[in-house]
Amino acid sequence: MTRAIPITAVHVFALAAACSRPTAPPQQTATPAGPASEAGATGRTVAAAEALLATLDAGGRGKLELAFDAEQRAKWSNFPVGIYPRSGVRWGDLSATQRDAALNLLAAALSKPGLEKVQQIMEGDEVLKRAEAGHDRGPIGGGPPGGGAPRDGRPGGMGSPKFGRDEYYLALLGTPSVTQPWMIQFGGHHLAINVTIVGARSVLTPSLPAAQPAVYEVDGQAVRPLGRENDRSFALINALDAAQQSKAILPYQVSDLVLGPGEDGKTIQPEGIKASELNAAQQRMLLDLAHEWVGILNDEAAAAKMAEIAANLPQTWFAWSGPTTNGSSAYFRIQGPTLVIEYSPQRARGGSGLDLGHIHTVYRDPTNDYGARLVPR
Amino acid sequence: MTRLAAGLLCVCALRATAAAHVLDEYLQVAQIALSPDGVGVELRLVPGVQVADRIFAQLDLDHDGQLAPAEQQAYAQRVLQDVALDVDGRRATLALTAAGFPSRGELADGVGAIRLTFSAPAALGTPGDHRVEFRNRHLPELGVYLANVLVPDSDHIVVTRQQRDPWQRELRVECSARRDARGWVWWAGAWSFGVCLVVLLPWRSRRFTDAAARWRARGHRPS
Repeated sequence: MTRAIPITAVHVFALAAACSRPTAPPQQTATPAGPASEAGATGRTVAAAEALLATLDAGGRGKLELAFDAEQRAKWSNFPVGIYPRSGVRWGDLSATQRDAALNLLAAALSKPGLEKVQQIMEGDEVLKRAEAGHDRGPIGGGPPGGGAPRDGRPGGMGSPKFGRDEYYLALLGTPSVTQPWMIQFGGHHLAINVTIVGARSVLTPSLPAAQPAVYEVDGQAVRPLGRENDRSFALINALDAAQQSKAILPYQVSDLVLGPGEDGKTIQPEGIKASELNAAQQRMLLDLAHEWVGILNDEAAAAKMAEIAANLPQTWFAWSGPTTNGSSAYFRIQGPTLVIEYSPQRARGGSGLDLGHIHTVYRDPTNDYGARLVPR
Repeated sequence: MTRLAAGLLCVCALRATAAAHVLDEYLQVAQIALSPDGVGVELRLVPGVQVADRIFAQLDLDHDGQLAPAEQQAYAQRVLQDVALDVDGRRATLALTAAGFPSRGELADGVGAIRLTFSAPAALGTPGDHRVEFRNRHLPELGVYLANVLVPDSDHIVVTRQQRDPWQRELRVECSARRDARGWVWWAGAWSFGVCLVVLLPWRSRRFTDAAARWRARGHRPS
């Protein structure tokens, strides 16, 4: 009887603690980020980063190497350079040797298709720049030409939109390491790649692959930087039966990304159809669609992330807004406990609907943007 | 990359548009946050580059080219008059809690976001079903809208349904407030603990009294 009080107290507090936990926590890749092997993706990426640093002088290294702080990590955008200044080394300022080293770094951190997508997006920006120059329309919105006087007196010539292949910036946040957290930031007008690396683990969220034009030609071949994303999404929505489509298709227009740049740390209420209501083939199509973003990252990291997404599939939603005929413009969103993907054709001028040739997308993990689960606070 | 760079680049069906975003419209993004004691509304208003001057003219009441705090406050109040929030069928009183305005240059570039945050008290934590309706009627001739409800921070409020009009000017959210399970457990624990004390303390007190009596019987006396 004398033990009754402590036993009762322990029982009550244990019950309270149990009730305070979420009832259905999302499946996360919870293994701690241990040290990476030299042969793994992190080891190769660190070696490539060190090789790039070796090609730069002190001034270049000073631009490339930044502090691994929260403020810098969140500095990314889809706006052109000038309107939204980037940090790091400018692609157009690198020598051929330095560019090769920078490409080697991206190749180590990303997958082969991921690097190809990045290069196609960069080239698309170059196509857009030439088209703008050819039409002599000046930069965005008819403002002053690139390199012109700042419109509002912002220092450093900022205020004039600049874009194109040369207007991409690469930065390393923190010291490249197989044990300590660091990050690769690479971006320009229609691309923001943020790779946080902690030991053997790499995280690509948040990132923003976009494209304008969505289709262009090189050597007579059509290039569609986000073409697979488009085609897989239309294939999926058309694989749903009428009852499933009635749940998946939102009865309202979505004109922009909901969780684009600057919207860190927010989770909107999911909508559409739950993946648990899809059959196995449709679920496979949904996973393949998600892989178009996840698979930008190197194969090791992407495989781990895809396993996590697959484990959370029953709690994952797919929502669609717009027509379902491929070749038309439609918005879609995939949202799960550890995943948000949005694909958003941008508004055309004159309120005439969405522009098929101008796509923005965003890829987030509400639990692990910037490696939040891995980086010690 | 080399092949791409060396290749002749041409554009397929690329119109002579600039690279920007919503150019000739006024993007208005609403995010609704539900909590047990109220509703928060965050508005992000981004005038496109081609309508920025019109918006700035509405902001710059004295036409001096600057946005004075009083002008910012006046615009926020105008927006407040153009939006409405109903909770369980009754108009809720929104109050401005924060406002941020971009520079004129950012507005002119089409990248400046006006951020306004409002809040209204509401008893959404009261167990049962609730309905929250948000409407945005600000500059409809220019506006293009997004409206979303955030996943509530509180486990006790669950969003059960969302409805919008085709343009997202109106968002209706149905939610349900559950009784606080943790609160019940703590009350049950405290009650159990109290019962134990009531039952056991007299018994322990009696044992102490008996022990003191035996101690005294052995010839000791308390000092």
